[in-house]
Amino acid sequence: MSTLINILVLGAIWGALYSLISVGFTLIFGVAGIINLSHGAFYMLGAYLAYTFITVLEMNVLLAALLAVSGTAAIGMLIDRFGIRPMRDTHVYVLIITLAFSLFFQELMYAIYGPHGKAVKSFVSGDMVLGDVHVSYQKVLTFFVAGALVVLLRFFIKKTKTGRSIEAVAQNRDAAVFMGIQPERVYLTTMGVSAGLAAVAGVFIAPILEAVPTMWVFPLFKAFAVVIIGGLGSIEGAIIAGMLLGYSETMVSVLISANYPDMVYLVAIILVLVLRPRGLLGKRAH
Amino acid sequence: MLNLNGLYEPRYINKRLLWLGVFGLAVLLAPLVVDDIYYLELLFLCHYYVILACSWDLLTGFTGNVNFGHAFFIGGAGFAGALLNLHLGWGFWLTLPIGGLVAALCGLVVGSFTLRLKGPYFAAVTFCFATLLYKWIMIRYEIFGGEEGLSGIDWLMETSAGNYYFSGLLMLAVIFVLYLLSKSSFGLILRSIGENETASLGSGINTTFYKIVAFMISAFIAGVAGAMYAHAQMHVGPEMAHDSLSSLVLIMAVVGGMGTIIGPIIGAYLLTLANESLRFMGEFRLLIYSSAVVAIILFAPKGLLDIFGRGFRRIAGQER
Amino acid sequence: MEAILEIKDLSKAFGGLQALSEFDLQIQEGDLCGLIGPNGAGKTTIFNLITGFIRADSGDVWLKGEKINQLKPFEIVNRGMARTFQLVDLFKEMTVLENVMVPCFSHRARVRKHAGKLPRQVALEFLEEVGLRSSADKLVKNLAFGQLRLLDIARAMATEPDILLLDEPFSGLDTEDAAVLSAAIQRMHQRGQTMIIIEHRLKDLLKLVARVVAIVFGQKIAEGTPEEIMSNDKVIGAYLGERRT
Repeated sequence: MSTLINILVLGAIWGALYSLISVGFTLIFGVAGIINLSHGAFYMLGAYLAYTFITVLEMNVLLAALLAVSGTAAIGMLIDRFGIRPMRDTHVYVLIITLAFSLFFQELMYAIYGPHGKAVKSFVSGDMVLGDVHVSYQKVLTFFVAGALVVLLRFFIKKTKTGRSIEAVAQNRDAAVFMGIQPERVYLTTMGVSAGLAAVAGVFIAPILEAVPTMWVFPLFKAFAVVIIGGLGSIEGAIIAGMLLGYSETMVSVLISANYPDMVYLVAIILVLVLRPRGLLGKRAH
Repeated sequence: MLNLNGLYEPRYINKRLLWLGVFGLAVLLAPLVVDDIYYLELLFLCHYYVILACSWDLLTGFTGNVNFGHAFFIGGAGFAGALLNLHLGWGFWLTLPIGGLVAALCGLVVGSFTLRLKGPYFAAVTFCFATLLYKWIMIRYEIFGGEEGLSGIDWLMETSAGNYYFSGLLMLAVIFVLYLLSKSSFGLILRSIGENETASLGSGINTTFYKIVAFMISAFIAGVAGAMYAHAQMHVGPEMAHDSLSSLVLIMAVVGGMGTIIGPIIGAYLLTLANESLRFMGEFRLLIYSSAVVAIILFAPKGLLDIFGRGFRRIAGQER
Repeated sequence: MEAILEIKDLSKAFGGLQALSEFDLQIQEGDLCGLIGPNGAGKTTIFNLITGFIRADSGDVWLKGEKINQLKPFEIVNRGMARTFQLVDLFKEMTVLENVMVPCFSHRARVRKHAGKLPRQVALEFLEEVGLRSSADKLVKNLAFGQLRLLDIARAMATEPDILLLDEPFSGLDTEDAAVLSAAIQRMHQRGQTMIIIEHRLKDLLKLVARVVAIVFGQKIAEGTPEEIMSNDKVIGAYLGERRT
């Protein structure tokens, strides 16, 4: 019984986390058509900035989180403006420059913080007890924050003016231009939102896992897996696929072995791309 | 299929071949000037990375399909060769070609399923295969030695100078072969795929077939290099299959200039030597290194060869 | 005599729009057939369907007796049907000569290669046909607009097609370039090259072709000689609006 609760609860938490990381990734793809290999780095920056503000500078948690997220969003926008924009149309170039930025940030973290994991104190202490299972409140909080943000994002896209212009550019860039929307500004905003969301995930993860300079790799490709399964550009798809991945990994980890959950997303990417490249819910890829 | 006859006018061949000839000569004669083991081993490393970067570039530089999992072939063949040597006592003259063939076979299998996918998807799948291999290597530590890898592999040549020459000759052979390929109809077709795959298809070219072949050759060469490295170091470790190696090789080719044969050579030498010479900077070495890489990609997206090449072309007054 | 190209009952709908309905056409060897119709009538759709770029909803296409419905575009090229596009699609960073050499290495061209001649030679001959030989070493991105069309045709010719499809080859050309193109097409016709040409510029088209097919809203409304077509009420009506009597 406790195994079941374990799976249900942990699966939900990780699922929500993956959804949060992935919606930003799918957003930037759907809108700007680029695979942003710096996405994982934003997640990492969120975590390290959280560490810096909370543990080192001992700031108020909420303030620290806000600073970390907005700081990362700003960095993301700078990368978009100066790194990606010059050769936005060449896909190979975008892949490579965003990869290079990720590597740069990795080395920057090594240089500033060293190779050892940096821990952040939980925002809320204590455990929730369900039957035999203990789940930290931090994890529960993460779940709700992730869930809330994902819902908010959807609201933002569908209901606000900025959000709708983002969607317009995603659907038909030229038509959007005719309606007076400036695509470059949309790309910038989207990147900021995307980076910010990834950073939030990083901020909330920091107390659970440690911050290490190589932590940008796995969320990037897990986000990729989620987005491929859910369909590129589809926020709903990212949410569903994120939950799917969270649950799959949790089940594998609990029922089979702790060695294998990190292979689920890899196998998932391969299987989906080979068998059904369009994914489950998304728009036509390219 | 490999049609070389009169494909290009002689004047196109001269410039690059000349530079490569000079380079080849320099490689062969260098040990007469340099006999410090430290430098010989450093240059061995340069040869190794040139082979890796050039092999990577054959697929990506020409067809535009980015390969994020080159370490799959390097580490895979490295371990395959190591296991053959340790358990069956096979020498390098067997393990190198077999390592290459194993890698090529993997390239065939992976490529047939994935090269029909669009760019970023192929890139992602290559990463996945490489990472899966890496994780498998780590999980089955009883076979592969876990973090420490496998040691006690037979040495390549008796001396560092021997290794230098072996790797140097291999490198020159690889460069020569790739040069011929690039000048042949095969190279023309690959370039057409990278330039405009739709137009290439419209010209009646079976692009997937050619991409797979290029991928296989790329894999073979990388595999041979990986096995060679294993022997020279007498050791293989999981880092040979790690994605950081894939990234490194990629960056070398990009910084030098993709699709040009000479570009990856420049990139490999430059980054290997820079990495070494920055050692004195201690902790900040890799940071400076990666910042430089970002800067180069931002300001010279087509690679350093392009920047310098433009200068040369202007001097040569060559109008195309 | 068996038709080179036979299209029967070809239909395609996009969403709710019926782009093509039950289209029939037979092309014999050596035909020079024009395909006309107002914008959006379905002409390019026909080309896209028969060259494998999109799948038809129903109907069949035979090329020299072989059904080619399910084949991929490059396979169809290798079976002997080549086409050009309205928006010229070339290898911009390669030279003119290289552009024509690539199709020389298609499976079809390899097999039928002119005996003993080097591919370079063969490519130069194709360039000669369209009058571009002197520009052989120029980069495509440096070519004048009118020359791009000619290059596209040379490229298609280099696959040694049994039938060549030209999609609005005259669009955007000035009178001088149009004359050059016209002459090239006539030369190819005289050598026996089978062709279908989609074109809006009726003046240029009707001088060249012996047979015209007119399409409106995805349906064939008329077929015949240029004179017959130009005096056909339905055709006139389609272009100018119904005549009120």
